Amino acid sequence: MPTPMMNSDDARDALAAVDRTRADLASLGLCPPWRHGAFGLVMGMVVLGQGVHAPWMWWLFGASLAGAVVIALHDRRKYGVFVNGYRRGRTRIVALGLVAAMFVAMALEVWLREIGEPLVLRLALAAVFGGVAIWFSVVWNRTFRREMLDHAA
Amino acid sequence: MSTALLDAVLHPPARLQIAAVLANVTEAEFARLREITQVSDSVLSKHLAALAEAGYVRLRKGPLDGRQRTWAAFTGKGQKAFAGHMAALRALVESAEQAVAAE
Repeated sequence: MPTPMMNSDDARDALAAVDRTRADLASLGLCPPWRHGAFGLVMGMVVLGQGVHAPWMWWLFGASLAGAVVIALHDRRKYGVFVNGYRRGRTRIVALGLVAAMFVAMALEVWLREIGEPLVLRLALAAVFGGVAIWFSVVWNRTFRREMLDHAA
Repeated sequence: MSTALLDAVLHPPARLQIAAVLANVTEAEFARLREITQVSDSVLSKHLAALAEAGYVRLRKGPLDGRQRTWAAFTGKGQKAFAGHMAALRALVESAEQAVAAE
């Protein structure tokens, strides 16, 4: 295929069209509050699963997996796109921060379980981590939106 | 006029818009791409086929709400081509601005 010819005005128009498309995508960063809450619930269940014994561990694993699928299906249906949380860009550091926090919380759950701490304490830790996950979800969305709009500026 | 690194496959405006979406998401559905590019189904199909033929886009059919939908995703080759095309566009604009400044 021959290399296309283009002058600087055409190039400017093409870049402006790309910026408009990115600005369109910024709307993906406007999740409803319940979507953040659902994500926090799923992440809380993942962490709590480490603090309980079988069969509850497996029930929580299954429920968190099902929750993740429901959230992904919702996103595909509502936005017509799927965005991997670990995508390249400014959001990756946010996603990695969440993973690091999750491993710390999971290790704490295992420790609390092994030393025989009461269930209420393990539930409280999972609830706190659910809140942390909600915060990460909000930050991730804001970061994505800012990244899209900064390109469009 | 410069032609350095411009990609002929990504040159049509609708394909550039499709590429701009796919560079920022993991997968996009046909209807969403049609909404963004504002072209007809058949025109969008042709653009997606051209991008897939060049190895820039991977297409798959998947069910959603009981219907088969077409989903498009960038390949590594597509990502690289888009980055190169964008760099060429920016270089064109910058060289024009520098020429104006030098006058």
